[in-house]
Amino acid sequence: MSNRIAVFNDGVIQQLAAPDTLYEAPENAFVAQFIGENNTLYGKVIGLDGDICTVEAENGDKLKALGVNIQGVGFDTMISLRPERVEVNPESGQCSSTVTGKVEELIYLGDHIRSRMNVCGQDDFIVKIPNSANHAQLSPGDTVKVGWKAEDARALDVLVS
Amino acid sequence: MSSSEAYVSFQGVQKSYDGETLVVKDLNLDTQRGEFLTMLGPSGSGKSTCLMMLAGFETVTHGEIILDGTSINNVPPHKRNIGMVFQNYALFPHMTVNENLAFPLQVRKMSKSDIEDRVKNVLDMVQLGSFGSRRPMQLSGGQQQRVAVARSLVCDPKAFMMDEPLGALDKQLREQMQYEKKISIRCWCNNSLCDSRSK
Ligand SMILES: Nc1ncnc2c1ncn2[C@@H]1O[C@H](COP(=O)(O)OP(=O)(O)OP(=O)(O)O)[C@@H](O)[C@H]1O
Ligand SMILES: [Mg+2]
Repeated sequence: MSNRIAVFNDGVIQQLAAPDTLYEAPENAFVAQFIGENNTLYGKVIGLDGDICTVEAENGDKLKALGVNIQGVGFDTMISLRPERVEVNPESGQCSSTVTGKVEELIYLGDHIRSRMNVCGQDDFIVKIPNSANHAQLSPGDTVKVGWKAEDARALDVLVS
Repeated sequence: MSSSEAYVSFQGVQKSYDGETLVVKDLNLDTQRGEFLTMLGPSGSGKSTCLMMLAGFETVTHGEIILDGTSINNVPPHKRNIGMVFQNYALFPHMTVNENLAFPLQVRKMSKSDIEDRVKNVLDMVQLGSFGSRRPMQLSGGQQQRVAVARSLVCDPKAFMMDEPLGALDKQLREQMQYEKKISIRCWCNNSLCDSRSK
C-alpha cells in the first residue's frame, strides 16, 4: 500500500511524494522549510559543474551544493541542509565543503547535543551532535570547522516572504 | 500514472469562493485504490477545500473530479458514498453514541438487526465498544473524534476522508484503520505523520 503526502501551499501542490522522499529530497524551498528542520544558507551561484554548483555565501565563503532548483550562474539561491548532515571537525577529505563555525549555544538533549552556530555570517545554523563515544566536546564561544557533503546541501529557489 | 487506473482523480481542478481569487489553483492528483494520502500544508492553503469538493459539499469552479471511473461533479454528496470527518466533527448531542452511528443507516432504510451489527463493528474498530450508550458530552475529546470516525465509516464508504489531525487516534489504531480493506483513500490534513513545522 502506497503512502504519499501532498504538500500544499497557496492552493498548489508543491510536491507529492513518499514521506522519506519529501524529507530527503525536497524539490523547492517551501517543502524544504515546511517538512522537518533545515538550515538555510543564502548565496549566489558562481559556478556549475554537472549537478554540483559552487555558491558564494553572503560572507564570501564558497560552498558546494547539489543544484536542485537553481536558475544558473549569477542567480541567487538558498541552500538547504539538514542539521544531522553537518559534521563537526570533519576528517580531511570527508566533506566537500568545510567552513568555520562559532558555537553560540548548546542544548543538551540526551541522545544528541543541539548546537546553534554562526556559520557563513548567519547565527541560526543548527548542528546536531550525536552523543556518541568520543563526540566533539564544545563550549559556547568555541570556533570549530563544520562540513558537509555536496549532495546533502540542496541549492533551491529563493523563497519570497 | 495514467488516470484510467486512478481511483480518485482531480483533473485541472480550480476553486474560487468569491469568483475572483483561486484558493485551489490547478490541482492534478491521482490516487490509487487503497492508497493512504495525506495533505499537509499551512493554514488556508486549500486542503479542506479539496476534501469538501471531493465529498460534494463545495462545487468545483473548473475541472473535474473522477471517482472510480465516473465524473462526480454533478453527483450530490449523499450519492457519492464518501465518508468524511469534518474539521469540527459534529455529533448529535441529544443522541447516544449508538444512536449517532445508527442514524445514517436508518436514513438508508437498513434493517434493525443489520444496523446493530454494523454499529457494533465500527465501534469496536475505534476501540469504543463499551461506550455505545453514552452521550457525546460524556466522552473525552479524543473519544468523540473516534465516534465521528466510526460514523463516517458506518455506511461502508468508497473513500474515507478525515480533516485535521488524528491526534486523538493513537498510532496503532491509525494503522489498523489504514489496513482496513474496505476503505479506499484517506486524506489526513495537517497530521503529524512526518515531522512538520508550519511557519
Ligand atoms: N466557505 C468559504 N467561503 C469563502 N472562503 C473560504 C471558505 N472556506 C474557505 N475559504 C478560504 O479558502 C482558503 C482555503 O481554505 P481551506 O479551508 O481550504 O484551508 P486549509 O488548508 O484547510 O486550512 P487549515 O489548515 O487552516 O484548515 C482560505 O483562504 C479560506 O479563507
Ligand atoms: Mg482545513
